[in-house]
Amino acid sequence: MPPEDADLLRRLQDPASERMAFRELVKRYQERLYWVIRRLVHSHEDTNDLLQEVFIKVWKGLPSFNGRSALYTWMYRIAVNEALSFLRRDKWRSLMRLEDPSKVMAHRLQASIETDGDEILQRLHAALLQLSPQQRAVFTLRYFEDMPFKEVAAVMGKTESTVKVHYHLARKKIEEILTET
Amino acid sequence: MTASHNMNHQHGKMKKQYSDDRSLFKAPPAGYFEDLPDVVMQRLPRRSVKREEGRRTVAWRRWAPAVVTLVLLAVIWWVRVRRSSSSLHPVPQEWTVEDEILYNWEDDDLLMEELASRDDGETSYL
Repeated sequence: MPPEDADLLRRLQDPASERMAFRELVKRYQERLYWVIRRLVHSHEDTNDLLQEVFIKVWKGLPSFNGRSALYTWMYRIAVNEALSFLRRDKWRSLMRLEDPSKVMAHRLQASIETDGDEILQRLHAALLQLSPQQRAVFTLRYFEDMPFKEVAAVMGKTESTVKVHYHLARKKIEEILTET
Repeated sequence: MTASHNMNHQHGKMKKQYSDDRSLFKAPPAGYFEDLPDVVMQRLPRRSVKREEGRRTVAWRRWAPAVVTLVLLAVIWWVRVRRSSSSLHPVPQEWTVEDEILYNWEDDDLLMEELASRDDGETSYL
């Protein structure tokens, strides 16, 4: 665990300083967690709702946080799980409304990006929609967050070899999609 | 150069070029990250009593399955013991005087009546 996180964790576990320390924690990690969630769910409004829920879950879970993993790995894990749960619920909502979930996601992506944004990035994100949510999460953590496989595995709650397979399959599929288009 | 070509052969270069995709998305509203800590802090539940309650709830959840399992096993064991003990001493099909003595020895009056009604001398063993 980074020394600055160890110090923060110590203050978080002291009832006298926990609220002030938690505000510092939010400030330190809000932007990183925001972008992890945003890349998965796309819309700012959904990201904002989920991010607030993530921090409330972190606050509730802090008394039982055992420190076996790094603080930020644990928070990333909560954030990714929240985003994946949202995507599952969203898929069911779309199916209940007799809509195609992939079209709904594609529409949401289009509404969330700059129209004059980088063309290759647009195609890359459109291709990411063809992956399973798990693969997207692995790809996002590895490629955009530049996270080592070991940490990706800790965040996803899977073995290192499993996330390597996920990442390999994700890259292969993206290559195929980008070659076709 | 296509994106797939980059993905295939120039992963390092592509990482530099495309791994920062934040500019692609519409930016969050101005001042969003300045305001978020206040919003989150206002939504946090109070700890104090709830912290203790939470610990008790967690402890209870940890022990409850074991306690329920033990109670169930005890009930099953008790039922089995009851059944096996009653099968060791079955109620006789033909009720004899000896059975009467064995099963109703506490009811002396009933037994004495029964024995007195017999006049074949078999009561002498009493």
